[in-house]
Amino acid sequence: MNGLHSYAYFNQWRTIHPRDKLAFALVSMVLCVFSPLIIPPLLALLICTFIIVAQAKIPAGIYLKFFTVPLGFIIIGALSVALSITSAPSLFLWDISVGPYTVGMTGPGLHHAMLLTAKSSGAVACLLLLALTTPIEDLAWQLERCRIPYLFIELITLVFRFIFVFWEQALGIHTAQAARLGHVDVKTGLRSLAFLASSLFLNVIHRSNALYNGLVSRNYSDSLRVLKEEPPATPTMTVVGFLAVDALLLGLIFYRGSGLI
Amino acid sequence: MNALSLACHQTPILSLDGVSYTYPDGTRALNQISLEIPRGSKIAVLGANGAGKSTLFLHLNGILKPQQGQILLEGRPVKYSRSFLGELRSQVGIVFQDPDSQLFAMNVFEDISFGPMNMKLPRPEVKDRVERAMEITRITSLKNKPTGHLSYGEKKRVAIAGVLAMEPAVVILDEPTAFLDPRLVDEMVVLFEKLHSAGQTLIMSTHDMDLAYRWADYCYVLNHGTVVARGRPEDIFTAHSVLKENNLQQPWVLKVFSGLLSSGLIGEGLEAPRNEEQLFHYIKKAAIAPVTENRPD
Repeated sequence: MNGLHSYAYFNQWRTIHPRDKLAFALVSMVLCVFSPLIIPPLLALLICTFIIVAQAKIPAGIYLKFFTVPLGFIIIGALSVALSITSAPSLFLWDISVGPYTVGMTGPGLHHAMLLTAKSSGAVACLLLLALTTPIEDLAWQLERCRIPYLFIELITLVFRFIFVFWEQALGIHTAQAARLGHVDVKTGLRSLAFLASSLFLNVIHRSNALYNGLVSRNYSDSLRVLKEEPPATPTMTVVGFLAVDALLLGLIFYRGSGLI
Repeated sequence: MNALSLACHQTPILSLDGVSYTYPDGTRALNQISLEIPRGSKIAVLGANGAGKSTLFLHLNGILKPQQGQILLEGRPVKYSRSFLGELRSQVGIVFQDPDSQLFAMNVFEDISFGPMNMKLPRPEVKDRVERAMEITRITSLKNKPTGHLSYGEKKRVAIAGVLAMEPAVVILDEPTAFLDPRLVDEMVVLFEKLHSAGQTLIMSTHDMDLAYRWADYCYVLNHGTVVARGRPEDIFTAHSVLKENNLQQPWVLKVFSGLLSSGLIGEGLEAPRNEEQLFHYIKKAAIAPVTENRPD
């Protein structure tokens, strides 16, 4: 969690205008999701991976780590699409019998699962491109420009800020407990965890009161307005690159009949 | 007669007149407090933990409302209407002890801009003020850093900049040097001196007796929500009963001074030294021309 935040701040693509990154990621993601073919989303996956690792210089290991969680869901989803269970064996490419039932994989089922995997992986890569290179504040600012209600954006900002306050508190309490053998075995550990949870809540109430006083003393009245600085414009070549990639994806999707499936 | 008399001809920027406040849990935090903050002064508020210092500060900024008595801003009684509170909070800024209770925004620049934006200033003016505040607190290089990634000392300076950017007449510092390393404490003091010489009124609570003694030009001592002593630091810190009753200690400069006096190494009748330079000066003078009248032979 902390990692994502750091990389979002300190990567080579931080300087690309968030508006352009957001537009590119969203358009590519939509193209991936609606693609009827396997190749375009796979291409998006490749391009986004290249940008994340080679351009933004996010370590490949970190990128893979963030990819594994959604990948787990994708694989489970794809398996459930690919496999069918029936009591009347039909045109299976591969099957296994369990009692009266047969579990197997049909040709269309397999194709469907592959398409689903490609689409979702492509979309996840587009999302990670955005998430790993753009801090939440830049995103919130773009959302504000998209006329998303201000209350909603403030909530995002405060929730995000408090995740770290929560995390630091929890870590501090955990360390203090461990120092007095609070996690010496499972039973003690569970007891300590219960204490941690309850004191964390009290702590957070106290902290949110303190934060509120802090805001009020700086004349907070109804909204958390801060001054945003417009980042420099994205280099033309990058914008051209964005357009070219999306045009290519779009072209591939509409260029059927080439036998590319 | 005292530092206050210097400013007597003008209305104090802030004053409290018989203010009392009891928390909902029954703790009587302030009890009939009356005090004045003259414009341009350096005030130290001293007292044991729980003496009511933080509660006092929350009153000066209008976050807490006195249950009895009143607070005056430039002689006008504070009204708790939206517009008056807006003015009060633009005039009186608080730097809280825990910077995490102040920093909410994602990056340094945005956080500092929060106060001036709330004052509905035009954007270029906000930008100017933020840049000036970052410059004086020496955090310009942190401008785009996320607030969550700063060190404690950096957070502290960002919190101060966030208040300075509002350009208040009074800056209240709640234990500004707590948890800072000695070098950072020195830097803070340099910053406060800079602000003071620019005409800023400063109020500080601290448990650092050496700092309070050399820095302040007037002290209030709080105990159980009452002002039990007030005066120039050299008077407060030589009144042994006051120090003892309020969990305070003598600054080392004064300890050495009284040690030298009682052992007859320096002559009687010298004024208490305000800082180490003055003390060293006494010692040097005594070394060159030893005090003879007190010697036994």
